[in-house]
Parts: sequence; structure tokens; C-alpha cells
Amino acid sequence: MPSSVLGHYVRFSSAAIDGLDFVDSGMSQRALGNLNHLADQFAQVRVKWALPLGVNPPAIDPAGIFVGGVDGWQRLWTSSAFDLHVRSDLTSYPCRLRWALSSDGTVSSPIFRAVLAPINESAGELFLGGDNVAEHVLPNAPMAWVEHGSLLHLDAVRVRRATRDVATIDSIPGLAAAARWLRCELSVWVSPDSPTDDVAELGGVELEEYYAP
Amino acid sequence: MSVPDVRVRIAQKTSDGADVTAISRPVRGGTWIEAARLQNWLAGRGAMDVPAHAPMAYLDDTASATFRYWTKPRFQTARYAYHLSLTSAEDAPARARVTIDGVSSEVPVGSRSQPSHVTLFRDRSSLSTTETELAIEVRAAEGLHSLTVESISIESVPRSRLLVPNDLGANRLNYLARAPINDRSIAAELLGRQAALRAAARRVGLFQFSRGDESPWTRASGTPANLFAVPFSLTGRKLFNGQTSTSSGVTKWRALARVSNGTTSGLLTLTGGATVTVPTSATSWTWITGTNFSHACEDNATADGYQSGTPDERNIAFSRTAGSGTVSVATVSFIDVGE
Repeated sequence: MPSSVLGHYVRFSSAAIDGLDFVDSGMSQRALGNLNHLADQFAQVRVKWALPLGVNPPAIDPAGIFVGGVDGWQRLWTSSAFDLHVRSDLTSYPCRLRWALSSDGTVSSPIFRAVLAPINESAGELFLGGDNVAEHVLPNAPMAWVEHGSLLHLDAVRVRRATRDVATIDSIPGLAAAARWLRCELSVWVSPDSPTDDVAELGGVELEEYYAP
Repeated sequence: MSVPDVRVRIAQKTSDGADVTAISRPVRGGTWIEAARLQNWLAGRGAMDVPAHAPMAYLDDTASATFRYWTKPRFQTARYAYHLSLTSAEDAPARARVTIDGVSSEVPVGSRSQPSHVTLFRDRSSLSTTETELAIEVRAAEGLHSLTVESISIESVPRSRLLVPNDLGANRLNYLARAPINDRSIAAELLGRQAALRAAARRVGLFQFSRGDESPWTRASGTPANLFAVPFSLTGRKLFNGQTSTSSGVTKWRALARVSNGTTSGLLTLTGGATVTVPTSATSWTWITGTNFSHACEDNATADGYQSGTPDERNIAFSRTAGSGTVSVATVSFIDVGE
């Protein structure tokens, strides 16, 4: 459910505002609800790409080059950095995840994991299995989008670890001032259960904030 | 008017479930202070102009490529952060040169197993919502082979304070608990700015994909072919009661395209029928605006936010419509321009 009482935005006419000699409770409710609703919908698209037709995807392939990883897990792709909005309970906005995956494992099924983590912490987070990690086992299947069933987010501890100061300006030209943001990354990994038989490919990732209180 | 780091909670209901703004209940001064602070959070936080994506462009030995994106900045955007992740299969530490707004920087290159994050900041020339281009040139160092542009994202840096009226800030000191509540401040700073705030609190970049000008999509046939191996999804803001799709024109799309000679033209067709027509006159890279369309907006009463649990998926069919030359597309940009 949305965090505003009505679950949507209510338009005001400027004449109604200008003509007011007091703000009644109905107007108050709509004004506050609008702010809550806009904050819900201010959710940003953090990661979004689909593989161009004819381009080789990030992949592991017994005939190709293993790109290196940890404990049998191969890193397929890592996003550049992005911020996440932080809720009033100090957890991040939840994010819905879709990823386009394929495999042609003839003996076993590769395991894919997507990790939403503070920057440069994906390798450690990969094994912790928190609400910031998605997993999908893919038996022999062509490239297709997979919807992850639940929303990923960073808990308050991870939000704290991801928080950085950033130099900003408040006017142009302007003096440097300090603001705070999160430095996060999304990485996709795969564990080829049987490396001599599995081919595992990543054809796209979508990570979008979705405010679900 | 400082910008909070964290979303501010404004209670519309008390702990016993009563609506604080219902008839016969007083609206507490504290509620208005929280409202002012939330407005500042909405106006001053950063936004994602270019979501992280994977150009998967490959550069060898001093070769360069420029990745260009189209955006409509939020008025409050004073500084952009350009994020890159460059990788190479070479063992030795590698470098590349990145140029933004004419300023060049040498940056480290990582590997796929150990990516190296790079962030470069550039200030805007003025505060405005005028649509504009953001561009990054990446050049491989001499002798460096198989440089891969693994990921690019661009976001507006959060502000620390809101200073001018178009920043849409609200001075929380005007809402200190008092009786009666200062209606004039509420009308001027909160109610009177909500329409502008609605337009400002956008998602900005919905989908932006650039392959760079050195490895664009190319087409020399009248038979349409999709740009993407799998479709991408578009999900807009749900604003109004009963809304299930965005209003036509709220999401704008453009393509950066060119033709190889003055007699060749091309066409991009988005699933659903909207088009970008690449004219014969576009013999150098040109931003071309697509026709209006609408797409699904969020269903904020569901677990995943999709209408009926299904994302609105689109692809882009690409073909040559005249001539014997080649049509090229380097970037497609989908942005939320607000409503």
C-alpha cells in the first residue's frame, strides 16, 4: 500500500489556494497526502539495460575465458555506481529486479545471484544471503527475463556502510558544500555447477526503486 | 532551507489510527514542519538521468568512442556525477582517458572480476530544465587492447540547501508550532508549489542505452530488425486516481542517428507504433525526436508495482526506408519530462 491516505495525487487550482483565508482540514489532508505520494513515486530507475541484438552477452562458456571470481562464483557484470533513496526507518527504498538469463547446461543448472551492495562489497555480500541478494537456478533455457519475486533493499547497517559525503554546489557558480548519498553497485554472478557443460549468459538487468511500505 | 539526507515521515494518522487532518482534529504544527522538510527532500535529492547500463563497447589502442545521452534536467540539478566502469582482460594495470565537457582525465581500468569504479563531476552552466545532451568520450591508452566499457551511469548530485524560489524549498522555521498555524506560509510555500514539485519529482531517466559512436547499430536493409535481443520495460509514475498509463508525451524518446549518404533514410518503430524517422539530411549524428506514446505506469497497490503483475515491455524495430546506404543508431533515450 502507498504511504499516502488516498494513494494518489490531488490537483489544487491556484484560485482555490489564493482565495483561502484559512487552510481547512480537507485541504491539509490533500496537501500532506500529495507530498507523501510524490515521495513514493520519486523512486528512480537505477539500472536498466537489455543486450543489443547480435552482441555477445556477458557469459561463462567452457569454450571461452573464465573471468575469475571467488569460490567457484564467476562475476558476469557489475554496474557503475548509483545512489539509493533512504526511507525514514533508515533502510533503502526497496527495488524490484528483473534479469534476462539463459543457460544450456546439459548436466546441471547454473545458479545466478544478483547482489545489491555498498560499492566494492559485492564479493562479500554474495555469500550472506540477505534481503539484498537474489538467486535463480536456471535449467536449460533460452534468453528470457526472470522476475525476482521479492524486492531487494539495503538494511540500515548496509545503508550506513554505503553512505558517503559528496561535494556539491547549491548555486551556479557556487561554493562547495557537503551532502550525503549512497554509493551502491549491482553485480550479477553465476556458479556453474559443472563448468565443462554449462553455458550461462546475462542478457539484461533492470533494478528500479519501488516504494512498498 | 537544508535538504534532509533521509526521507521525512509525515504522519497522516496518529498511533490510534485517527487521521491528524480529519474534521475536528487540530493539525499540529509539527506536521507542517515535517511536510516542509519532506518537500525539501523531494526538491533537493539527486535523480538518475542515465540509469546504469552496459554499452559493451570494445576499444583498442588509442581508439575512442563518445557516449551521448539526452535528458531533461531537474531545475535543482547543479552538478552531475558521471560514473564509469571500464575493464580489460590484460593483466597489467591499465589506464584510459575520459573526456567530459572538454576536460580530460586519466582513469584506472579494472577487470571483470575486480571492477574499478570511476566518478567524475561536472557542474552545469546554469540551473534550468531545458533539455540537453550529456556526453562522455572514452579513449583507450596506447597499447591497451580489449578495453570494455562495462557500465555507464549519470546522476544529479544531491543539493545541501535550496536557495532560490524555483528550487521549490520550504522554510521549516515558518511552521514552528503556533496557534493559529500560519496559513499564509502554508499557501505560499507548500500548496502553491505542489504542481511545480509534481513536475520536479520525476524519475528523469527511464531507459537510456548508448553503444557509442564507434560501434552503433547499423542497418542496410528494408527488413526491420530489433535493436535489442530481449525487450526492455517502461514503468512511469502513477500520479492521479485511477491512472494506469502515462499521459501521451510525458515520456519523450529520441534516437541519436545518422545516414551514410544524402539519399538514404531510416525508421525506428517502438512496440505499439511510435516512430523515429531518420531523414536523408541526417548525414552526421543527429538527435531525432520520436512521436508521442504512452506506457504503463506503476500500480502502487501491488507487491511489485506492475499493472496486473506484468511489466510493459517494448523493443525497437529498425529498418532502412530509402536509398542504398547504411542507417546507424548510437543511442536511444527515454526520459520522463513531468506532468
